[in-house]
Amino acid sequence: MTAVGALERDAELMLRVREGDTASFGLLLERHRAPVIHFLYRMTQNQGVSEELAQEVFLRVYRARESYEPAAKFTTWLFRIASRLALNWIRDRKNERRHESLDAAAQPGQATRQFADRSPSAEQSLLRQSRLEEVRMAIEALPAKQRAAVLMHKYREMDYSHIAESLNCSESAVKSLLFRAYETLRQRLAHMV
Amino acid sequence: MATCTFASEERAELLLDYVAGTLSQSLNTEVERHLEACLSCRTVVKSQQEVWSSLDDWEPIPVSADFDRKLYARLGEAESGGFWQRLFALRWSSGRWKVAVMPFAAACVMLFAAFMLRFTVAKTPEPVQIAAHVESADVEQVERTLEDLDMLRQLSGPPGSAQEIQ
Repeated sequence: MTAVGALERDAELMLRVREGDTASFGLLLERHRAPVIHFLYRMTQNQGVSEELAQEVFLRVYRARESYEPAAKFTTWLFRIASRLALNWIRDRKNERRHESLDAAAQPGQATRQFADRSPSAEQSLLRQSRLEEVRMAIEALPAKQRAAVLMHKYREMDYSHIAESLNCSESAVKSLLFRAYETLRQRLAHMV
Repeated sequence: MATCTFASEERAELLLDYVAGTLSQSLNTEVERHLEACLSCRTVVKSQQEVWSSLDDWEPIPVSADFDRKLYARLGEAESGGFWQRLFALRWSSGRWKVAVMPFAAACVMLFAAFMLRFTVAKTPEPVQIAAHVESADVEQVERTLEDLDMLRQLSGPPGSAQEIQ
């Protein structure tokens, strides 16, 4: 399915949900569950919180089904809700956020942190984990809005205008957020080059 | 080192889009030609490519197996919740807010009526006194009226007579 086809399909499914078709909601959930959770996970760096917020996202989508207009791109709307919830959570929990330790034992129902395993030796594996921890901390250190912009730009491949709609700001503001964020990341991760 | 020919704002956007692979073919070619001659931009691009690669390696954890079950449970609660849950879940744009306002307004009216009734009952003794005063005033007024009517009859004479009021 092409990108345009996927967009039209999302709108079509959401219109069916508006008419009361819950099966279409299931299809939308199937398609967008993982991207939303992954975005929220990278924003909050907490699996439990990310899934709770993701449920809230889909709950709000369902509740707002009757007022949905196909003029708005579905994923933009979805990530607007997601980023707003994430930014609110970060604001509210600024001083209480817990950091997961790489060595922490897995809690019941929680998955452990996973990294792409491309290193054959233990030493390379440790090096890789150390590198990824640097990346995680660098992202976490970004201001919340810069973080959201980078995550949408990098992992969702959203263009400036859609990121702007999701963050409820201008396109020029998004560019400014991204340029500053990437400049910070380049400086912070320069020693890893 | 030669100064970069790209304007600073244009430069940041072009280089970022170049690394992200979102430039058009013609712009891509232009940037690549520029990179051959500009060390500063080459440095930025190399650094940005490293950041991009590092971000690529950050894979998220798998979604919990019971995510959907929990979501549908919450959806079910939201849809079949009690009266107050439905009330507060209503959206104003759908016009269904009127359904919520009506019972609330009725409750307010009843409370107000109850308050006024209590206030009225508290004032009960006074109307008895006022009524007694009005009663005596009414009797006097009636007597005077009757006297006036008698006077009028006397002045006007029998009906149809020539001695109507002069």
